[in-house]
Amino acid sequence: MGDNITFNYNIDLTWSIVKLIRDKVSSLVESQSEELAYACKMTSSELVENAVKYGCSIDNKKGIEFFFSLGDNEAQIKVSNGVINKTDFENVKAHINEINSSVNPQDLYIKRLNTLLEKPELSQSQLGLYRIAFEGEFLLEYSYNENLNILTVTATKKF
Amino acid sequence: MENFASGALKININIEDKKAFMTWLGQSDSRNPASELNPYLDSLVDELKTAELTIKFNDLEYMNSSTVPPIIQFLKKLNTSEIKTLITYNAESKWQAASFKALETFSGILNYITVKGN
Repeated sequence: MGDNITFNYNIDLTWSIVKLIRDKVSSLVESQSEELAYACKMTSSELVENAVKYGCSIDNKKGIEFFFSLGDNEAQIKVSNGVINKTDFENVKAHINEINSSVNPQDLYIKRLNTLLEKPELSQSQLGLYRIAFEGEFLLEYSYNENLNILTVTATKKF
Repeated sequence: MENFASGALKININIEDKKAFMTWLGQSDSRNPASELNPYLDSLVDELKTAELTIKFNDLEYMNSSTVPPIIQFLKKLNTSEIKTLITYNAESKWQAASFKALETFSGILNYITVKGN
C-alpha cells in the first residue's frame, strides 16, 4: 500500500503562482508513472489558471485555496475561489455539465477546437476544462456556496 | 524572419530553398499567449507564401490550453494562404499525442495542413 500525499495551500491571485503550483505538484508525483504525473500537473495548472483569471479571493482568507491528494488509486485536485460575476460561474457550470453529460470527452474537445476555428473572437476558450477531461481523464464536479460566494471545482482521477 | 522568445517559450524559424522549419521549444504558459503569438505568427505568413512549412512541436515541454487558440488561428491563416504545412509532434508523449492528434481532424477542413506524430 502506497503513501497518501495531501497538499493544501492558500495561494495568491498572481500569475506566477500557476507555475509554482505546477512545479509543486510535479515534485509530489515524481515517483508516479509519467502519464499520471503529467495528468496531475496539467490539471492542477489549468484549474489554478482558471481561478486566477476568472476568480477572486475568498472573503476573509488570503487568495484562493488549492488542494491536492494522491492515494493508492485516486488523485484529487480541488480549487476554490470567490466568484466575481454570475456569468463566469454560469459558464463554468455549463461547460462542466456538458462534459459530464458526454460519453466521449475526445469528441467534445474536438468540437471545442472546431468552435475556436470558426469563432476566433471567443475571448474565453474554456478549453482547459475540456482538456482536463479528455487529456487528463479526470472527472469534473463543481459546487457553489452562495452564502460565502465560493466556487469549488474538483477534478478526480481513478487509476 | 525573426525568432520568438517570451517567458519560457522560444520559437525558432528558418527558411532555406523554399523549405521553412519552425520549432517550438520550452514551455508556453503565459496568461494570454495570443497577445504576443498572434502578431508574431501573423507577421510570418507573407514570407512563408513561397515555402513549404514544417512546424515541430516535438520538443515543446508544456503548453497551457490558452496556447491552442493562437495555434489554430495560425493554421487557419496558413491554409487561407495556401501554404503547405506539416505539423509534427512526439507520438510517444501522451500529452502531445492527445493535444496534436486532435488537430488531425482539421485536415478535412484545412486542406493544406497535415498533422503527423513521429
